[in-house]
Amino acid sequence: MTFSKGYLDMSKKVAFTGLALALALVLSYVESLFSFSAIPGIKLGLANIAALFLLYCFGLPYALLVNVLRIILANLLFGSLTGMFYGLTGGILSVFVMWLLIRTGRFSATGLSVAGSAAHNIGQLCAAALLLSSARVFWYLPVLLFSGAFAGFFTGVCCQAVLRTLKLNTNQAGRYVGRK
Amino acid sequence: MVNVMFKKADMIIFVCILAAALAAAGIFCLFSKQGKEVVITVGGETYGSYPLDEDRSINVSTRYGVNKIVISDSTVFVASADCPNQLCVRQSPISRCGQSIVCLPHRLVVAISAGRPDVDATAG
Repeated sequence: MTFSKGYLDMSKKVAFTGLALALALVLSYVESLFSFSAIPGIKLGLANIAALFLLYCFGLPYALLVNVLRIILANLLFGSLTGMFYGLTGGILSVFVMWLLIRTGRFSATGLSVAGSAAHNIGQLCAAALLLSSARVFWYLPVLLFSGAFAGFFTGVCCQAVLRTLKLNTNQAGRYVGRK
Repeated sequence: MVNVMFKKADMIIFVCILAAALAAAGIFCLFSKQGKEVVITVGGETYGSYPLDEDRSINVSTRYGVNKIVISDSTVFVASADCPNQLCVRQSPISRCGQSIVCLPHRLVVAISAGRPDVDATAG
């Protein structure tokens, strides 16, 4: 995959989106191998790096597509149906929040990732509250927000490092506009 | 734009979320007190409620699966369950008002409530 031109044609975009989806699935799998057993629900969100990267390169539709497909596939392969429901609610909300923030042009990938992780956790808890018909799950919010901020910071720095290494030049809306 | 690892705005949002988490935790802790009653709900419907100060074990068998819940020394925990992820079993015992143990695959919520002292706590 080369970023040598100022724009990418459709076939390259599709191919690269497919690669990103594969990468996101692998990251999901790696993450499912080690779990922090003490407090359930806490995870690193490594696969978010792929969605965030696509948000920078190709914009909202591609990032949303990869995140939704990744959550469906990952939960079919090594998750559960309920997990898919929570993941989808959180995943879609987090991509939309990151997309809104990227448009302001004030944040780097780190800030987007931190905000995205908070949105993911809130979305997930809303889904859980709906499914369980109980607002008690929100007791979990402080723990998830706290751990999510650090996890989001870590994955955000990873994404920022990738963007920096590839020397992608992005415009105000965060779209890829060419190589520096 | 991509040359710095994080910007000022990133740190602001990071600190804001940490502050929100701490504030929420503080509010929850402030309003929590030792509970009196254990309420078990499955899929939003009350399965049963039990006094927290009487030791007992409850086998909750529903169409989603089986969870064995134990009340001991005024704390509640899930002793065993046939759910795939075992997250409910790994949670530490709870005893304070508003705390809960959730088993998502079985749609099960074990929660502590203040209870009503004038009503017989056993129901359902």
